[in-house]
Amino acid sequence: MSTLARHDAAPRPRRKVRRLAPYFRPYLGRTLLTVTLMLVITGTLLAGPALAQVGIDDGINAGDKGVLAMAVIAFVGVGAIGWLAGYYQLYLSSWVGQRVLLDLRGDTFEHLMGLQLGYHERTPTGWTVARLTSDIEALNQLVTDGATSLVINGLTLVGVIAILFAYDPKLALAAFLILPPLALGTAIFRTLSARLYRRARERNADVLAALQETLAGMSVVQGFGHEKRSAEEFSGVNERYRRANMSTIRLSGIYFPSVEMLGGIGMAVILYFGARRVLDADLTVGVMVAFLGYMSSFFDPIQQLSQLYNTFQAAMAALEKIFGVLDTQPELGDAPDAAPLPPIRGDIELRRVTFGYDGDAVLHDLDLHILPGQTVALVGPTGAGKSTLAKLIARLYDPDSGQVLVDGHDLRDVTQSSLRSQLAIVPQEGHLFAGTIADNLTFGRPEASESEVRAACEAIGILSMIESLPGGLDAQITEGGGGLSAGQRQLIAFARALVSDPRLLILDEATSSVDLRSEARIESAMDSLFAGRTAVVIAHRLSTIRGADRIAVIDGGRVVEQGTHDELIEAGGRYAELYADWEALPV
Amino acid sequence: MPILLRLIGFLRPYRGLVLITALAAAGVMATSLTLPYLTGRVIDEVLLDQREDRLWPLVGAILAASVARFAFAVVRRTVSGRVSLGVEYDVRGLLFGHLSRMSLSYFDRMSVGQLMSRASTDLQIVRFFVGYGLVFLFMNAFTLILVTLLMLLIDWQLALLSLAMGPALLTIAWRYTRRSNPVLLDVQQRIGEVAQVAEESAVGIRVIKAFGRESDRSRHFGRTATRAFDRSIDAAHIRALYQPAMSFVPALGLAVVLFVGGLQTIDGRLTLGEFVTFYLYLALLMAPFRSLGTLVGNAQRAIAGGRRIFEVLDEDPGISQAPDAVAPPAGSGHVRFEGTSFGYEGAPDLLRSVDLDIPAGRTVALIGATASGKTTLTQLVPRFYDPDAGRVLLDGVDVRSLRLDDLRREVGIVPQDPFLFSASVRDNIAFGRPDATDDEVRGAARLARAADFVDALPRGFATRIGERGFTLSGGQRQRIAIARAILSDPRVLILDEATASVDASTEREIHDALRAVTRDRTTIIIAHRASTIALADELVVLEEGRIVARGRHEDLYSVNDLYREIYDSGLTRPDFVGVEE
Repeated sequence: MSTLARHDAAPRPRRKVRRLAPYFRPYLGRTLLTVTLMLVITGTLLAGPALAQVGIDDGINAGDKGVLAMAVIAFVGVGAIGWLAGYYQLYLSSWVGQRVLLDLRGDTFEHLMGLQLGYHERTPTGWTVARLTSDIEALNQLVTDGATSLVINGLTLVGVIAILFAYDPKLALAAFLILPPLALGTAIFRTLSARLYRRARERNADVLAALQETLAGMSVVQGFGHEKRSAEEFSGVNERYRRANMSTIRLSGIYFPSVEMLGGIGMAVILYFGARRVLDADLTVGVMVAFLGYMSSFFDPIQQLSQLYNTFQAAMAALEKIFGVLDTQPELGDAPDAAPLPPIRGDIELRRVTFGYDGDAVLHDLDLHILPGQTVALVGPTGAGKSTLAKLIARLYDPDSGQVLVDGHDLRDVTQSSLRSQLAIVPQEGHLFAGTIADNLTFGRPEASESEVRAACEAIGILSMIESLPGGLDAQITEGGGGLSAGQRQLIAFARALVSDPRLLILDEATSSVDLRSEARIESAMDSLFAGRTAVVIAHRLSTIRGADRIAVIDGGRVVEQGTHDELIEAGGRYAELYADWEALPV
Repeated sequence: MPILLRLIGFLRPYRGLVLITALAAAGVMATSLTLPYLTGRVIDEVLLDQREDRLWPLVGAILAASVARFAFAVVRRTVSGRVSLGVEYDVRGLLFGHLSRMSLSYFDRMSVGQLMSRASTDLQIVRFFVGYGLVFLFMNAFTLILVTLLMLLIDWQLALLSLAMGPALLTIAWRYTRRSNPVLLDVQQRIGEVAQVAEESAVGIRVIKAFGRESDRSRHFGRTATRAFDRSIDAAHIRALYQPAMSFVPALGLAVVLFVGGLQTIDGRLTLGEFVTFYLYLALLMAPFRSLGTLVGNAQRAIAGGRRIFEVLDEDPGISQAPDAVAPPAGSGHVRFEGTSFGYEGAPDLLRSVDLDIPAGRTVALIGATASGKTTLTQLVPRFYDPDAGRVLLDGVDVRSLRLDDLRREVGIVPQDPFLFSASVRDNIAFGRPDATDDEVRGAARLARAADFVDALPRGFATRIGERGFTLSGGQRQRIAIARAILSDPRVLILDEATASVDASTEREIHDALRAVTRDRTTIIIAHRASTIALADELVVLEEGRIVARGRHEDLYSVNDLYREIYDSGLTRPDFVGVEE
């Protein structure tokens, strides 16, 4: 879990925002235009009270209807400009924001696809999916409303202060007596809210995790009559979330009314000092009214910015995790001078290969040579390293030391796509994708013709099963292959590998969930399925193992014996021992 | 709008708090409204009438009103927050409780992701609407009525004139909502599709990598994300069309007041104070009018979310405890199927009138091809499904008349692909009996031949396993599941290919354990292997949902073709070696 821990370290928000900058670069023109429009909008917002002041002082109080009319026309005109600018600004800023997110989402996905299998095996699926969904959504809130609100409200704040001081420095100074407590309160709010909201987010994640797990394991929960206890446990998690969230509500329940109250006090201050100065003829009524108007446009942005702060925090937490993914270096990238692998003849050699996951060596100094066209069965007890060996041949991992060679090419010197397009693995879990059966069958070779697809299905013996489905090959299946049995999914995965017509076929427990008749059928078809290909088979049934050209017994991370079934029994080694174990079981 | 009413019904336990919220909200609005009024008084009494002595009391009143507003606002926010969280807590608990009573066939139809989004995203929307949205609606309506009245009192002609923008604003808000909501729903849908592609790519990463289709998949994801982008831009465009317009219309109203009111003030028909009050009131009205669109939109989204939540809550659990359910009678696990038929929804019958009597203590092996109905038959005993016809009896009593948790405690299952929770090994084994002592847990683990490898784990029985913990191999998971089933000491034990991912050497070890635990217990075994079947006293051969033969191996082999075929094509031997993860 060291990778997860690393992602949770909290660096500076500023640095993260700066890292986001390159994503804006392609849309620099639009971004600049948006910012300009924001300036215009802020201007129109600030002009309102000033125009009202002119109307009151020079129009109403002076009894000049002409000036009043001019002020009102200007008021409407400014409003219209604000409307127009608002239209373009909203559209453009959404466009840029969404576009940036689209690029970021695409990059993250591509990067995830490029990360080696080891990363995905260490990382829970939900974690990966959250990077591409909920984290991007958290950023979405910030870029659609947040950025606009940040700029316009920030500018408004500065603008209001400047205008008020320009009007009347003394009254402005008096009004801004409320600033120190406001600043202090806001600072406290920010500190507390960062902590409280983070806790609420974490508790929320706990709720979702508990929910997900119970739903996924519902048959166990029900099977053990555990519903009530599960519900009690869940209500504990649910309650902790409620409590964590309640503390954020209490905090903002005090902060926001306080800001409002300070606004009221500011108003009282302006009225008190302002009115006395108006009486002394030191100030006009219009200026005083304008002060009141600006005061409310001063407090609005503060409230909005404070509200934004949580959105911002959530977005930064999300960005942090996304960059954590992007910073994970793919260990198995193509070498800069990698060449495409020429058509594979099928000669595979592992030379002194040592490999382990996180330091625990699974394979030690292993040597194995498979000749073109040969079918080799890998045999050995659980945990011996058979699947790992198969993954090294497919270069899903690189050896820690030693070499894996195909036709004499070290796999690290060839491009991964050229290797994988000539190789197919049929894994134990035949994962199918949402789409039609035909889509799934042609997954490895989209250009395969329908007759090729049918031939592969026929060879596996699933053509009639597929044709009995509504729609036949075009039948829709849901993700994970719902509606099909585990055995049927495995057979489709098998056919999928055949459609891709690989030079090199790796069967990793490919028929473990298949019923016996189907397996027998595949076994009898094995010769033709494997004809002209090199095949590595990991199997657990003797019938399959015996059919191989050669058996390699793996134990303790090494090849301890090789040969045909009869040779190995004769030799009386590890294989013979396994065989004895097997024979000793009751019939 | 029954869904809206039902959503409001979630507030019932919080009637008192809702009343407090409403009163506090009214207090907030009332105190807010006094501020423009007092400002107008300052201008008229102090400035125009030149009475400086009136300044202090009026400013004091403003300060008092601000403090009162603060108090009301704190109450309003805190209490409505409590209510909204309470609703979320309640409904989530309801969903959880309801889902855990649902028959398994429901989960065959509904994906976990779908249910999750209802218990999170949809519920959040409902929570915000019920907790805050309704309060805002109330506050807005209150403000609207009160301000209109006050403005009518000051100058009814000017009031009518300036309020003319009201209907215009309402119309725009209404149209905006009508146009944008379908698009927003569509955006949600597309985002859901993005999530789906992300999820299945993460799950299927092995396949993607094995076939080298990474860039293909990235393109596919990019296309899906672009569709979501396109729709978001449509939504943004609609928003850009309407939202700035909704700011502009109120400004027009202000301009009218400024002009007409200004003229009246010049002509002396309106005092300056009244004019300023009027102006400030109108400014106060902008917010409610403007937010109406958003509120209506939120209400619509809440109704959509509520509909999805009620869809779950209204779903009949399918399997529920009879009101007069009783505890299982004393007995030692006599299981009997009588004319039992069953079919999954929309599929042809899987079991066709099965009659099977399994005397207490007997071990029976079910044999048959994939999809012959073996697993389904066993799942009728703990009532994961109920038969469409016929009945299932446990110790002479129809299982449908038994209390569900008692029944399920008496039936232990070791499934084909055991699900373990993210918890310690100990908690997983003691899942069915959390009160078990450490010795009992260890004893069960020892019987299942799991104690040795558990002890070798970093923290022994306290090691956390599952998705967020230590990864176990298939065989290890299987043995934990066997220990889990043994510990709750059920009358009936079901082993559903329980040894499928265990190799010959391990199976030999478990074999003795299984023999021990099946000895005094009714056991139903589903297996493809002769070694497991060898545990059985009797074999039952299923074909296409019917029992076609039963008896001992020697009896069946010579007379039953199907059994002979299954037996000869691979049943004779267990797996040669183990499988690794």
